[in-house]
Amino acid sequence: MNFFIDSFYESLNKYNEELCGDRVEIVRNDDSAIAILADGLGSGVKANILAMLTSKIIATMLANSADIEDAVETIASTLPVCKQRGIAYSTFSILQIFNSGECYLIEFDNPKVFMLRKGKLLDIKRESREISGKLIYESRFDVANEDLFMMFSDGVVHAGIGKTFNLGWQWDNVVDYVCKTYKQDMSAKNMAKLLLSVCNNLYMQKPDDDATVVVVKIRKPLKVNVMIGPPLDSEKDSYVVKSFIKEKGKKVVCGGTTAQIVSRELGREIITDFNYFNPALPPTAEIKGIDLTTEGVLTFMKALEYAVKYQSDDNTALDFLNLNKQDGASRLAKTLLEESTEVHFFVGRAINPAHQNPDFPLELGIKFKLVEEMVSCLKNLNKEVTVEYF
Amino acid sequence: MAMRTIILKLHKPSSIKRKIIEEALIDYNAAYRYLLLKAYHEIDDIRENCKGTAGKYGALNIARWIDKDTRKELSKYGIEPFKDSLELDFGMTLAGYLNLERKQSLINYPLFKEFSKEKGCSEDSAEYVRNSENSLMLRPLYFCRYSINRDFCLLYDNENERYYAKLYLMNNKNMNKRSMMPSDERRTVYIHKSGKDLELSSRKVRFIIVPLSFGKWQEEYLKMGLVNPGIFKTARLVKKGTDYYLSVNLDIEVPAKIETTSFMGVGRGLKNSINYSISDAKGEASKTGFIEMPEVKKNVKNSFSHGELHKIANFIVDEAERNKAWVIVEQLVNKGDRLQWVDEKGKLYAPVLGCHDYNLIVKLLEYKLPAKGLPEPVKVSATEIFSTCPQCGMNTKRNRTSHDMFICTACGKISDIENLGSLNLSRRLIDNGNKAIKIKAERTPSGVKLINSDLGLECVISSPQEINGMLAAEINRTVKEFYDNIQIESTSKNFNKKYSLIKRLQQCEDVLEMVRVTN
Repeated sequence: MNFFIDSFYESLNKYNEELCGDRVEIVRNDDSAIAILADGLGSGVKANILAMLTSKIIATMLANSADIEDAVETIASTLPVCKQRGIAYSTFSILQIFNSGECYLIEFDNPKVFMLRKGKLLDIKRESREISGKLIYESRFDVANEDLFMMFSDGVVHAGIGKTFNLGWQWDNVVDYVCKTYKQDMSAKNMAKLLLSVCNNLYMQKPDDDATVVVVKIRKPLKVNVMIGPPLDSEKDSYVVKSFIKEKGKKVVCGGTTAQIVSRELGREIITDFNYFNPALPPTAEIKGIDLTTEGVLTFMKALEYAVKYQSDDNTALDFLNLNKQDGASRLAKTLLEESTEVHFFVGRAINPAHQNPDFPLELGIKFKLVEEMVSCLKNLNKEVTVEYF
Repeated sequence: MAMRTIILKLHKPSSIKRKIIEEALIDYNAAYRYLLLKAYHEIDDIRENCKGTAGKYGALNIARWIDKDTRKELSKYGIEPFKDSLELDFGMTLAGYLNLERKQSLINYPLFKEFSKEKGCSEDSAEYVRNSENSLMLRPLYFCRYSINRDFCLLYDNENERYYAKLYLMNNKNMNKRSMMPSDERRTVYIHKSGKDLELSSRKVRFIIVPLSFGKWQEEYLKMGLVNPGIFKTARLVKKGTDYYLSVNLDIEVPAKIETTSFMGVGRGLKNSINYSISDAKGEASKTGFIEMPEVKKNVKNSFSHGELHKIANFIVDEAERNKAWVIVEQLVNKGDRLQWVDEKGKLYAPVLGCHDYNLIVKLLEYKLPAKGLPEPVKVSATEIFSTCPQCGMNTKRNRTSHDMFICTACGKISDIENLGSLNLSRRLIDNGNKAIKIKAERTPSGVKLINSDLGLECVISSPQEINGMLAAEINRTVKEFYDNIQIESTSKNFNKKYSLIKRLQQCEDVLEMVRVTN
């Protein structure tokens, strides 16, 4: 089965705690991807150590094809015993998705993992068994494209307890919110950030417990091809455009001159689109067969701004709303950051003197710098990125 | 200057005073009817000879039709104490009729219903009025002047803080005249520029003095009158059911206009009758609050009493005045605000204040706010105020998770439903002011034509890449041209709309921030 695993996790520390008592590990090996969420007993350093040990042990052992029994026994014998409580305890949830499309879910004392298929809650059949005195729930099933899994610690379920809600947010309400919010084009990062934003607001910005959200989304791989700038040798125009057009996936053209070249070579008209919402940016255009045609440097610069913000730790749920705007930069950013799993840049080496900084050598033209930075952002987001220069 | 009317109840008048009042009303109505009947028979003459210079009819001109003979006839009704008032009252009625008749041909002459002659009463007799159906609908007795020695005036007992009305209702021949001995318990002064004390002796008098009862709102104006007695002008003595009221007209100064610096959204609630939020000019909420009224029981029709609604309105006015806020309210006509909620178990959560009561409060605010120098409340559509996120603007029913909780499905913002409506209301004018001005784009052989007919903007851009610069230049040129030709522009039907668009464009540094180009 050909799919891409889009995963993201984020945590909210208990108020005034430096370290989070929840821990997430995401491991990929040759045949599977494994996401583990562990919640250590208590909070602060002790909880952090318990959770870290738990998640690391499980991740390493399962990635090396060990059995869950072995992993649980190892945890039981490894975790340090709390002097005050006299027990060594950490909850865990494990989601292992194989390249074949099979999925293995193991849960111990964490809030139930839930799954959405086409935006609707799917009931997961669980079987229980005891391993080393722990009641473990196991599930095995096949995944499909656009399936979404969400794992979260009890800090999410109890969000707002005694403040905004008497009994906390509660599992059913969390699921209900996710179902209401779900959109097919929503990334794992967007969903996780949104849920955590709600938790933080419910806790009135002073969480009573660590809260962690892990989102795993199964997606169809999508390659996005971006042509930016005319080739250095104008005689290569036809060749470059043909190479660009025959690629699978979405096609994006950045730059007025580049758009004219594509339009000429394909024999198709460029139609300027005036439904743009940000007059600070030039309008986009339409060329038949091209998914998005934008202006060049200004638009790309703004899209890069969005990309840098997207991958930063300061990124909030509000920032994602910018990606839903209809101006060229927002659409370009959304295509690259949220929709793509693989990006290929066709970079023309011809330099527009209007963009040239006299202090920089030719090869460090603005365009190239922008592309380099964008490539770096996309790689940080675990996307496969390739660049071809002409 | 502005006219205001306050209604003061005559507090428990004795039976003899009731008798005097009742007789005065009946005599007044009989005399009034006599005048109307007589005028009816001479209406053509009045129509011809009592016109004013501008062709309109005025009360004073009409009153001049009443000659010596007519006055002699009027004396039979014992209306000497209020003769001038009666003539003026009659003049106002007939002038109103004649002025309306000039505009509308089909208009009824102002007279009582015909009384059957078989009853044997003369139509113009007091007995007719007393016996007719209309004895229950007596015309109020008009006092045309505020005076110590005639018509009416008010008195004040400083020690006991009580107010009284002095009403001249009897002529010299009236058998009910009696003397009024001064009281050792109170010292009453006239609410008059003279500030004289009320002096009583053993002589029989033609007036009655009745204590008054009223609410706090009326008391404010009476206190104003203590400082400036000149505000009291005219009055009417009214009978409602078995009670009597004095409806006093005051001439008060219009308060100075208050320059508002914030906006106050006033919305309904599920826990509180009213919730309010105050936002500054940038939309930042500075204050929220509510009006509870938990002790109030609704009446049979499940609504609040007028008194309670006035209390709510007064609270809102005080708060708006304190914060120099422009009040924004819900337009609850046809479409509601969707505040009501039914949960999964079928339990209904209904707003404390029904639409009818809320709309009544809005009506009260429409005169109470200007009375304090504040602008009238602005009514805006309320359909989205409980489903729109105050942080990101996302509007969807899915944002509301329960009867009291709002969680935005776009940005995660949470809000208590109680405050959400008023907060969104308080920002509504700011949001509308920030809405982009639409400019239509049309393709032409020579390029793209940009049009906004309200602004009078039309230009052709040959190169779409230069659209920003050229559009900004064209907008600035349009604004300049508007002011250069403002005198001509002001005669255009579209002037107000164009002017408001021009002002919005001028408020931002970059005009392109205020426009949106669409296909």
